[in-house]
Amino acid sequence: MLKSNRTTSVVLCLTLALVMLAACATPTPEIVEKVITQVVKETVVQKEMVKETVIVEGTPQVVEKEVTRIVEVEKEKVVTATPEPAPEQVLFVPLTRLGGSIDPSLSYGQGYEFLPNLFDGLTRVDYTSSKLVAAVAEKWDISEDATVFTFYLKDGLEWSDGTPVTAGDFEYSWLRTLDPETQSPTASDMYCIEGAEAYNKGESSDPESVGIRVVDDLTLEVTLAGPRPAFARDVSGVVYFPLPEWAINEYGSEGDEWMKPGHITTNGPYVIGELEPDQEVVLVRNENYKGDRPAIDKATWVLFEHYMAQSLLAFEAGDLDMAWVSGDDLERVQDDAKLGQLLQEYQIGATCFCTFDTTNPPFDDPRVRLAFSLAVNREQLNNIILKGTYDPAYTAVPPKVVGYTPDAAITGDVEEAKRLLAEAGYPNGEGLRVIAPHGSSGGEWRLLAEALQAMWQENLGVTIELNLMESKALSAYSKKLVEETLPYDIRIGRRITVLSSDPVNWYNNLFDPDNDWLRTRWGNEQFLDLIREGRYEQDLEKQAEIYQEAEKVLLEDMPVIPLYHTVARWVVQPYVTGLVFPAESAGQIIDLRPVSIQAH
Amino acid sequence: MVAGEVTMPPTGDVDMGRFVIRRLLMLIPVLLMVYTLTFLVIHATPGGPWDIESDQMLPESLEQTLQAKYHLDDPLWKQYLDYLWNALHGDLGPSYFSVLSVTEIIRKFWPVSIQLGLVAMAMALSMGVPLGVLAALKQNTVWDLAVTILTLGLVSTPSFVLVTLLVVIFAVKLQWLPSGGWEGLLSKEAIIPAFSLALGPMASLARYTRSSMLEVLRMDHIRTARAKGLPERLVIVRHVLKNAFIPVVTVVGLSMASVICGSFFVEIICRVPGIGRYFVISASGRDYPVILGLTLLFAVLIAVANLGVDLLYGFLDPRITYE
Repeated sequence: MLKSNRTTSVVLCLTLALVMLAACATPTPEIVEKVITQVVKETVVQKEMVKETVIVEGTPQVVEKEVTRIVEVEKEKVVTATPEPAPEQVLFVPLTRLGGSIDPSLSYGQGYEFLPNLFDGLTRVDYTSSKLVAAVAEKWDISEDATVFTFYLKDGLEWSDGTPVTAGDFEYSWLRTLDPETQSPTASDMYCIEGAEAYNKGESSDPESVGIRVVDDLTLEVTLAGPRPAFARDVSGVVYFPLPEWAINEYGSEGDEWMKPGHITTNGPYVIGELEPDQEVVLVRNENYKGDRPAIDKATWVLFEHYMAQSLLAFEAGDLDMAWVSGDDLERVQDDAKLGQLLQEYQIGATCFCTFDTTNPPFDDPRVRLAFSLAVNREQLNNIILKGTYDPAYTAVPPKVVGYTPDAAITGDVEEAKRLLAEAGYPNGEGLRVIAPHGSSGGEWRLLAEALQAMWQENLGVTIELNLMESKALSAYSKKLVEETLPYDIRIGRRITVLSSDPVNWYNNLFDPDNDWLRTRWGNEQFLDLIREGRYEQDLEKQAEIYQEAEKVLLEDMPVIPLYHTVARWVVQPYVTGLVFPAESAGQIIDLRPVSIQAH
Repeated sequence: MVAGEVTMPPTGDVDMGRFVIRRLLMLIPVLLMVYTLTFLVIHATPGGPWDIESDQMLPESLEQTLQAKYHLDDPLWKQYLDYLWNALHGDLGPSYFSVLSVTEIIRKFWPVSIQLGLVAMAMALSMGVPLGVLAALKQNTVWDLAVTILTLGLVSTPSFVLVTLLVVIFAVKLQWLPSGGWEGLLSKEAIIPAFSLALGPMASLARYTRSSMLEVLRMDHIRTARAKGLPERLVIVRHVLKNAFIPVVTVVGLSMASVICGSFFVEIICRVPGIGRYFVISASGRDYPVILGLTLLFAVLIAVANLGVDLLYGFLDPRITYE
C-alpha cells in the first residue's frame, strides 16, 4: 500500500512536470524583423604584401612587394527592408462594448471606436497631427463674434449608394438628434446651437427655430446660442455626422435596422460588412468613397467584455493585431523580450482626482485642503503602489490641455502640510475624522484608497474611515448627495477623461458651479471670472494665458487633489503601421485611414 | 422536490401522467414567487442602470431621457404589472444595453450555451462515470488514489483558473488552438470552452459514482448475487451500477441545468457568444429586464430538470412511485 502510494506520487509528479515542460518549451512566435541580412557579392580592391623571389644581380632574393588585385568576395550585409504592403490588408482589434445602439443619434459611447470610419463630418481631427482638417466641408467662415458658422461643402462627394452628399444631410441628422421623439441621449451636446435646447425640450415644436439653415446644397449656415470658437472642432464629433434620410426611412431605426450590413449607407471610407451585436463588427471598404483610398480592406472589432484584462492574451495568441495593456500586465510586458519592444504609450487627456465638499467643515478651509494634498506622496503612490501605471499629477489638467502650466505645479512637503493643518486649528490632526467613500470596480481603486488612507493618517495624524461601495451604489450615493444637498467629506478617485485639449471642456465644465461636474460646490470669484472670460477669448495665446492663471488659482484653493494623469498603453504587431491613439481618441477610437499592414 | 420514498406498488402510467401535470402546475406559483422576489430585490438594490460614473462626461439629461424611454419613471407597482403582463405574452422586455430584446438574446445566444453544455455534459459523463467506477472497483489501489487526486484537484479549481490555464497553455504558448471566438460546435474554437465546462462536473460525477458504488457494493443483495454464483461482471452491471446511479442522476440533472445555462467565466474568457455572459453583466449593469428574463429561464430549467430526475428515479428504482 505504502509502496503503491509512492509510485503514484512519482507518476503524478512526472506527468505534471511533463505538462509544465510542454507548456514552457514552446516555439517562440517568430519576431518579424524589419532588418534582414543579405549575402551580397562585392568587388573589393585588396592590397596585399606578397613575397616574391626576384633575381638581383644573379642571386635569387626574397623581397616583399605590394600588389593590388581586384577580387570578388561574398559579404554579409545588413540592409533595412523596404516595407512592402502585405497582400492581405486585414486588421483585428479589440472592442470594449458592443451592445446598445450604434446609431450616431442614439449612441452615448457605443460604437464610437469605429463610427468615425463610417462617416465623414464637416471637419475631422487628423489623429496623426492632432490638427483639425477639412472633411466634407472644404472651408468654413466664422463670423466675428464666433456665433455664425458657414460651412462650404466639397462638390462631388457621394454616399456609398451614389447619392450626392448635401448640406441637407447634415440638417436632417442634426434635427433628428434634437427631435424630442428620437430620445437621443446626447442631444444636449448640441445645445450650443441657437434654439436647439428649446426644440429638444419640446418648448418649441418648430424645427425652423433651430439655428441650422441650408443655404443651398453645398452651403450650411449654423447660428449658435452664444460665441463658441471651438464649434468647428465640435462638428468633427459623432453627434454631428450627416445621416442618410432615405435609408433611415426605408429600413427604420428600430434595433439599428438601417445600419445592418446591406442596409447601411455611409459617406466615410468604410461601411459595415458584418454586425453581430454583443460579438463583433466588421468594417469593409466603401468602394464609392471619393476621398483618399485607405489601405485596410477589412477591419474586425472583436468584443472583449473586459478588454483591458483580456485582449493581451488574445494578442499573444496571435488573434489580435493590437491590444491594451493594463497596469496589472505592465510589469510582465516590460520584462518580456518580445512584448516589451512592441509596447507603446501615450498620455491621454485624463486626470484622477480626490474631490472635497468645499462647503463642509473642515474642508471649507483651503488650508486643510492644501494639507491633504501635500500629504500625498505622488511619486510613491504612482511609481510604487500603482506600479508606474500612470504619471504623477502636480497640476489639475494634463499636459497638452490649454491652460496647463508647470508654473502652477503643486510644491511643498509633509512639514508644510502639518503646519497648514495646525494653522487651521487641527494640530497633529487631532479631532479630525474623515469619511471617504470609494468605488470597488477593480482592485486598483481599492489600492489607491488604502494608500491615501495610510498617507493621510501617517503624515497628518487624522483618522480616515474608508467606505467601500459597489460602483453603481456609489454613483447613486453621489447623485443623492447632489439632489438632497447633503454634506460629505471627500471622494477618493474621480477619474475624468476629456476628449479634447479645449480648456472649456476642462475648467468650465468641471469647475463652474453651473455645471459642477465634480460636485465640489466650489465657487471662487477670481477663478470664475477667468474661465468665463477665457471661454469666449478668440486670441488663442491670450486664452492660454487666462486659463494658466485660472489653473494657478485652482491649485492654490485646491477644491480637488490631482493624483495622476492617465497613460494609455498598448502593444501593436510590428507589421501594423499608422495606428495612433492621441488624446482626442481617448485611447480608443481607431482611425483606419492612415493604417496599413506590411508584409510579414 | 425529490419524490417521496413511499414504497407503494407501481400503479401504472395514469399516476405518472397526473404526477407530471401536477408538478407542471406547481411551476406557476413558483415562477410567480421567483419573479416577485427578483423584482423586489433588483429594485431595492442601490444604483440604477444609468448610474454610470464614467470617465467621460455624459450629458446630464442622459439618465432622464433613458429612464423615460424604458418607463423606469413609472410607479413601481405599474412596472411590476406591466412586465408581468408582457412576459405572459412572451415579451420579456428590451435590454437597456443591447439592441437585442431579452427574447432575442435568449433565442440567439442560448442555443450556443445549450450545445456547449450538452457536449460538456456528455464529456463529463463519459469520463467521470468510468473513472468513478474504476476507483470504486479498485478501491485503495494506485488507480483509486490517482482518480481521487485528479478529481479533488479539478473539483477545487475554479472554472476561471482552469479556463485561463487552458488558454495560456494551448493558445498562447503552444498556439495549437485559438484564444477565443465561436465558429460553431465542430470547430477548434469550441475545444477549450467545452473542456473547461466538462472538467468540473466530470470530477464531481466521478466522486459521486465512486462513493455511491462503494456503498452499494457493501449491501446484502450484492453478497447474495455473488453467493448465487453470478459472474462478477453481471453483478456489477445488473446490481451495482443500476442502484449506484440513483444519486448520480440527481447530480447530473442539476449540473445539466446549470451547464446549459452557460458559464459566465468560460464564455467571457473564451468569447463564446452564449447566454452565461449575461447573468453577471446584467446584474452589475442593473439591466432589469435581462436579470428578470434570465432568472425566470433558470427557474424553469431547474424545475424541469428536477422533474426529469424524479421521473428517472422511477426507472432506476421500481420501489419509487409517483403520487
